[in-house]
Amino acid sequence: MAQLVVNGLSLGSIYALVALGLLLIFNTVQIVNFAQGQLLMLGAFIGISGAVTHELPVATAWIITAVAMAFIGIVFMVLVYFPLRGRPPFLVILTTIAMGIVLENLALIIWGPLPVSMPSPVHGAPLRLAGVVISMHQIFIFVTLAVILLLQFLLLTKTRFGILMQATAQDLHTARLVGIPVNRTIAVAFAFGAILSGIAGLLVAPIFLAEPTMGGSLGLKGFVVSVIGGFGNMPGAVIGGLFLGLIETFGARYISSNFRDAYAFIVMIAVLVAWPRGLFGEKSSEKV
Amino acid sequence: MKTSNFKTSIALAVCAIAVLMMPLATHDGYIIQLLNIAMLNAIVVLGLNFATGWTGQINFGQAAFYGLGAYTTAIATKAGLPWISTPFLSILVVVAASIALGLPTLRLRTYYLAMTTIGFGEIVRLVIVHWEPVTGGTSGLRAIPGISLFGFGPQGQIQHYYLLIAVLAIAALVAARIRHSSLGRAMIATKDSEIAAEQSGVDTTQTKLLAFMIGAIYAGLAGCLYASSVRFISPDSFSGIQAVLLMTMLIVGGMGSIAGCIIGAVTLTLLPEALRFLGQWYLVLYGLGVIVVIVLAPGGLASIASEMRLRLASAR
Amino acid sequence: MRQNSFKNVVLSAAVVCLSSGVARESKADVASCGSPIPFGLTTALTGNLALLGIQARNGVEFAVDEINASGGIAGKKLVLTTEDTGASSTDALNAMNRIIESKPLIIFGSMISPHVFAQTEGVNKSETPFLVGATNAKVTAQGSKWLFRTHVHDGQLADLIPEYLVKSLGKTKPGIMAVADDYGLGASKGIQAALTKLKATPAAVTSYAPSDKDMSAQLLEIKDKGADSLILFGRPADVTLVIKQMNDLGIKLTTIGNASMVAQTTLTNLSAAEANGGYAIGGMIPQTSPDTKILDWAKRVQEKYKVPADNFTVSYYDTVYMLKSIIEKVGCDKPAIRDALAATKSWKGMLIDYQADAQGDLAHTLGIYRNKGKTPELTGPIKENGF
Repeated sequence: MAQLVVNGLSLGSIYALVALGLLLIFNTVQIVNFAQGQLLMLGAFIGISGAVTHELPVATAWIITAVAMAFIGIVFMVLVYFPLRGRPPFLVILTTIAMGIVLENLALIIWGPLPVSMPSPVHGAPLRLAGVVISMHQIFIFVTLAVILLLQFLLLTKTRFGILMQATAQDLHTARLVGIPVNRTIAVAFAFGAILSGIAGLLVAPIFLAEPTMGGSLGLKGFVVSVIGGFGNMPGAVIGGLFLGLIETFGARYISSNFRDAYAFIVMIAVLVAWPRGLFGEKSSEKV
Repeated sequence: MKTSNFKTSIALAVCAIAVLMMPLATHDGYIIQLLNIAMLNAIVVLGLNFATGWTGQINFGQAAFYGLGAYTTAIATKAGLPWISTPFLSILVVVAASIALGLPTLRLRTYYLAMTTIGFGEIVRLVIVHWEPVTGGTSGLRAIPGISLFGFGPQGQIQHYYLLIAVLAIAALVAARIRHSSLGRAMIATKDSEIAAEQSGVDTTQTKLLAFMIGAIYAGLAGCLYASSVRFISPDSFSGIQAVLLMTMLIVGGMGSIAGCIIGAVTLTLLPEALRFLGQWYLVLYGLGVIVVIVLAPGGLASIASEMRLRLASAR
Repeated sequence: MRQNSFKNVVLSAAVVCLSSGVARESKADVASCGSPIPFGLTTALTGNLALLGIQARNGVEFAVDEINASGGIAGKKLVLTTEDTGASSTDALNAMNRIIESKPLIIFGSMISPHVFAQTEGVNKSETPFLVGATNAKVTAQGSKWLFRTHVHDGQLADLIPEYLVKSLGKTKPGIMAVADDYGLGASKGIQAALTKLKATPAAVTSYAPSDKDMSAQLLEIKDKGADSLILFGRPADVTLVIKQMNDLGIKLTTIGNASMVAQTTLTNLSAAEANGGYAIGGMIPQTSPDTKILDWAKRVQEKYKVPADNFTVSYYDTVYMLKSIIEKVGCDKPAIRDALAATKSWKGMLIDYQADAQGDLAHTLGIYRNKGKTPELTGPIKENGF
């Protein structure tokens, strides 16, 4: 059973990372990016292009991927955010879904449908403690998540730019009025949101392999996590993600493996029925 | 004014004649079957329009209602029930499901509602896939009995074509009546601003629920007809991807416009077939096309059509 | 006027009768074929089933190109029209309608059973021989006299895998893992029934969604419930993950599954240690053949299509050549081709012999494989009970 905990948490960490990327963008521009899963997929494939196709050291591949994802994030912003500013959220949802379809099929054309693997940045035999197996890569996933959380916290609260970002998130118009470089903070949000998903992709590729359709399911779970945790709430996303990973794993083991995907949705619906603003509540309130 | 009305009527009449004469040009076969499926999609999209187009409630569960209607019908007729019972059974099932979906989600805002309806669709699909003894699982159900009233029923795609034209026309007329009723006005008010609508005495909760239910009924009845005319169903025809496609039909056709629903459904049912030669690129272009429409013409093709009419009229 | 037309009708009828009678006698029936000879193919080329579906296209197209390069059938070239069924059975139906309009002599269907189920009625109406690789056992139980299946199916696997596991490998308490689509779930059901007949009870029956990445919960359930072996039915992409995760968790179970266990696509992403020892029973693959011509064929197919050839590629390739030899004998007469298919006693394909049974199944020989490191080895062919 402890094994289930370990595996559930490591899966949940991936979900949490996707959710964090989603939230970064949502907090800044109130858009839920339904293509976040496809950004994860792009991260995985760019990493593989570097580490496998061009045989670069894994660390180098990671850095290249991060830079590429930042760029992709900004392109995404230009294509999706700017044209749709002010439009009803419903149209934005459809647009991001359409972008996801475009990215997934471009990936199929470029890289083909066969799954490919990528080496992990860490090597070594798995730990065996009291009958539980923890692989080095799983530990790496936990560590990465922790590091990212720490960096994000420090960035947002301790740096000037981070505080500007928070201000932009709270009220875009007022922020602009007081002279905050709003467009810059939005660009940074998109860039980092993409990087976070890209990192999730790099973490996923060594254990789950990469193939162009991988983004759909992982992205969806990321949204579910955001909903459970409450949009706008970073700690909520992490707790929600870990929680979801555990629910899925335990549900598949003890209830029925047939309905694994359903557990995520059932929990989400149950949470929403009780707390319509998510477990930890949203930050922004509805404008009249 | 009078001339443009006259011109519009002529245009509509020509279209109607073309539509009715279509089978003579193409005989039984590919195009007619495609059009039949397009018309079924149009009925589903008309249903989607109630909740999403008019009431502003995003709904990715419409494909699930479509599937529920289809499966209810298939299971019932294969179990020996007379066909006439199936529309009623389908309505019963989808109304129950829409209440189950609608009640907890009425308080939810856009993104949460989107996720919940996606979840609903997935759960329905999983149940269909795994409840194999009843639903045939992933192999689907085949040899579904066709429409049969007192021993008579449409034979062949062409007869189904005319039947579906009639059903679609009725569906559109009913939708138009609802639009101009107090319920329709309540829906639009809810979409524009819930708070303002409440202030003016609209029960937005009830309105939203009714919109969901009526939309589900449309989809359920379309599902009943799908099962009875195509006579083979499997879960992959009612998946989450199909739900997204239905939504794009609504958007591309023109959200909120009855004609738009029909235009969108027919266009986006025929287009993939016409563009199959593009292979994998087809989906890339499809996605880009949807984005272009949303950005440049959020009112969809219907708005482009009416804009062109205005331009032609003003060019006098 | 009327009398003239009547006479014309009688005369034409007489001519038709005479000429068809004559045609049946003559051996040069192929001369009656139109040129080019039209073949039709529907399979999934896009969507989440594409990785499976393209093998049908690869096999058929490769054979057609080869035949055309060496002059066609009795000097007449073949022309292949391909339609993409996409991922939904509604699209498959539309694709089939399109193909039927092009009036092909033969129609190839895919190995995706829900699509074939949706298409069969339309093909029946068009009275065209319908050659499929769809593996759901009930595909040939539809009572269609035009449908023939030239690949082994889940019904055979459902019998043979448990039998081999219990009788040859001596394991009686397997855990079952199947991918939750028609491929896996259909087989899982059949396997459970066969195990019951063998007086063996599965320790656990689990499934996973095709898009699932983490199957550790299912593996742990199978281990916790004391299974002594694992029956794994999936597609290469997910089978890879299951085997990897089994190794990561330190679960050591004799594993037997369908052809995905030894598919190139699977083995590419596994280490030798992970892959070693896995068994597979399924359609025969070309990579284990000692015949260099076959290995060369597999290499050329892979070079052309960038995807390794698998058991389906072989089956579809064989089917085209089988039809070639039939057409050379009976010409381009659809009912005659159908009859010849139904009467096939022993046609030698690349790896197996084909023989028609009463239901329209022509493939009755499967391969038993075992992975030695990352290389599959053919333990031997195994025939369906009764053949």
